[in-house]
Amino acid sequence: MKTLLQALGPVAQAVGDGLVLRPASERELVAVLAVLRDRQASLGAEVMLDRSALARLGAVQDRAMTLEAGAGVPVRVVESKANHARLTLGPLSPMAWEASVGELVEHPALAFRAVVPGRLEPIAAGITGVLADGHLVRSAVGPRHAAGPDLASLLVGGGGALGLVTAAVLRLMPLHDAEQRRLFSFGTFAQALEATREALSAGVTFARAVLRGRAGRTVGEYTLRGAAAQVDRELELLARCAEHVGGRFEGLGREAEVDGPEREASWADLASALGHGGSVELFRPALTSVIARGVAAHEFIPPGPLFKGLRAAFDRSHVLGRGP
Amino acid sequence: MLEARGALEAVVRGRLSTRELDRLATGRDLWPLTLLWLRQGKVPPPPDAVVWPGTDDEVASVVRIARERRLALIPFGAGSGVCGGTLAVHGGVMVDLKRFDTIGPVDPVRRCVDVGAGVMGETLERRLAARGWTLGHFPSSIGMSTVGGWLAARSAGQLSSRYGKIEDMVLSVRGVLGTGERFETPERPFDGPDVAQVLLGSEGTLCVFTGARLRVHPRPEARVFRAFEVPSVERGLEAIRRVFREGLRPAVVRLYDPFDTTFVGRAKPASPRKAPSKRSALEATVLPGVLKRLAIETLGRPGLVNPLTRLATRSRLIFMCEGEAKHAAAEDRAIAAACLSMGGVDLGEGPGREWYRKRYDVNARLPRLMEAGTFIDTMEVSAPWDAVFEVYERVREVAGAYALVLCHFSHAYADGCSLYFSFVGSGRTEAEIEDRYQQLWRAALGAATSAGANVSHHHGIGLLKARAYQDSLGEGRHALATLKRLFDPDGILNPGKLGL
Repeated sequence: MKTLLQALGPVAQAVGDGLVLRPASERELVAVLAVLRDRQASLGAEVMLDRSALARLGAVQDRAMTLEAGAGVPVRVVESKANHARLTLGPLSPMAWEASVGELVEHPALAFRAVVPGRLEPIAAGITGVLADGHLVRSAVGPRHAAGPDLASLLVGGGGALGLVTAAVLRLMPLHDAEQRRLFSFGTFAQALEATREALSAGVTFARAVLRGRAGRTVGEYTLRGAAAQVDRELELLARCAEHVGGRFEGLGREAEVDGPEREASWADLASALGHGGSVELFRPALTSVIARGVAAHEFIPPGPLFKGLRAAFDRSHVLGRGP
Repeated sequence: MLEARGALEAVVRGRLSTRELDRLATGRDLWPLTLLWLRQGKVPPPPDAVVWPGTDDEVASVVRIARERRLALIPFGAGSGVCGGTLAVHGGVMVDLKRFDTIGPVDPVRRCVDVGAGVMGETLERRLAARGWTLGHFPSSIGMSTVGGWLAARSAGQLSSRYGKIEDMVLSVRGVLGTGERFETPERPFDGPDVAQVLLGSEGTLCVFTGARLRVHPRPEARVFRAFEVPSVERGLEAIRRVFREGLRPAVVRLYDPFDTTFVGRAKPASPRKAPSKRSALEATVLPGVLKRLAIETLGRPGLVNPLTRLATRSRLIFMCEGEAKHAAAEDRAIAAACLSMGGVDLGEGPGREWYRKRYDVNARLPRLMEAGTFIDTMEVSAPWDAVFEVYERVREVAGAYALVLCHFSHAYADGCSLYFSFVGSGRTEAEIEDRYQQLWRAALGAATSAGANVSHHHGIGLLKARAYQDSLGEGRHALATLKRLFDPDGILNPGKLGL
């Protein structure tokens, strides 16, 4: 460990029996990874990476509604700066608010937000990062592209298994004060789920939703946030979707919560939880998946054989020492 | 190739052809440069053979044989690309995937459908519509493109502002890597990166797509159209930006620049064939010469003609909202308010409906213009809102030296939009025309990227943009090269494309 400390130079600091590495630039991170590879060391409990020095916070780009932030910037700090420009990162889950930008953008579930009609979109419009093999990846900042494979996907949502994000251009949305809740009850939990999916598909964007059993019925409490006119439009749409599957309006609702850790879940996972009499709280509800509380822990979901190959190609020496 | 023929024929059960007609039919796409070649009597390099596998195992076997013999393989859908992405620049075998033509049942709970890579777009949408569903993917090429082609090139449809591009509709993809291994990407939730997104857009250089599971939506109950005349391109762009900033999600947004506005709605479908008359015979013999002369004198002098196009200032802006009827109407009213506040004049629903009716029509004048000795091409890029107008101005400025330049803006998102340039040019000789075409592309794409645009929004890279694409990657080239080594270690898949 001592020789490693010397090789790493001022970027490294001895803490207890281990080392903490604080690179302040991509160049320093590239150098750190090179030293670790040479010494056949890897990041982990003994050699910890601290990205807090990657703390650059750019100006809000009001027209494009984006903001560039270093991987070490806390998400709450980004939100605060965005709020000054009457913009926001949007309705994120509680776990996302506690993350740094790097953790947010690399997380397999938190890295995406739900957009109309119930699809997912990366929160990052562009990223800069370092692959485990020491090469930089810098994706163009733009709404969409057809320029070859999406190399940013190696890092965005990648769990830090193939490389590390050093900065991201984050998508923002207007900050509006309007928030309304509506409560509907359904004869079965399947109807409640169907109404929720139909509303998403029709164009409703929930900030959150709670589904739970009550007196033999399933109750759905939906929270919508946005511009007042938009919330009004989407409330009407939500009511029609709920009624379409036999739902009944039950009032304005109250701020219900479900305890437990957040997990990315499929709609089948939600059905299973509700079918066992549980309650679920949905953040970032999309047709593809949701982030939820109240669902059972998954068994480890292997990312597939292609991922093994990618890991072998980009992190042959396991320098990142993590990921699935 | 000859020594591999027997082995290939065996694995595809005889579905192999070396006939010239089959090789020429698949060894091309709609890249306008190759159309210029055809005018000169030159054909794009054809493959040595065409195979029609029907199962993933057959594709895997074809790939393994190709690896052993170091044969190039080019996956082929329907040849609607416009960047030379399917040209057999190194010969080899064209892998035509049209036998992957199955459309599974729609899963109404999970709202998805399994589709083979060879399914034609229009067939898929018709089948879905008959069952009350839609994919929401309507590229202009829907009648002559396949699902596999969409996946390979990250296709976008005309309703992408609402439904997204094809990569937003994919739940998982399956296919065969250049190693010969079959794969199927996992569906969410999963741990680790979304490998499907790494393969989509690879244009046949990393894998052969054989199928996909795609998200579907209930067919919309209603469509509401509205058009505006806006005082300038800047005002029109600002209106679109405000619409998306307010959380509105129209399915269609199209802003035509003043010159393009003069053509909107004027395209007429080709007239039915008539028996030749004396007049038509005269038209056929004399008119091309007259048109050619006219083209050289006008389009061949873009420096004189382009300034005239700046005399027009007003632009046409079209929106279409779809979905539940009341919601679509409410969105339409909110859009109208945003456009009127930018000085827009409400033209009602007529122009939007007219565009929708003709949305797949290829301008009937184009073939005649090509015959008259012109070149015509389109360049689509996207940029963040801060850069969109700058990209527009810069491209018009530099491209205007080589061709007549028109532009419309579409595929809008909260953070930016796509710019779709049309170029029409000419020259005194075929060599001059081709030279001008090449100079135009270098100048236009360079201007676009230096002003903040990417190299492609939905046409892809192919051969046309390979150099600009590689330049745009910077150090990311290493990551692309690593992917190539991993998934296609012998470099047999579609060599030369994406600069690989």
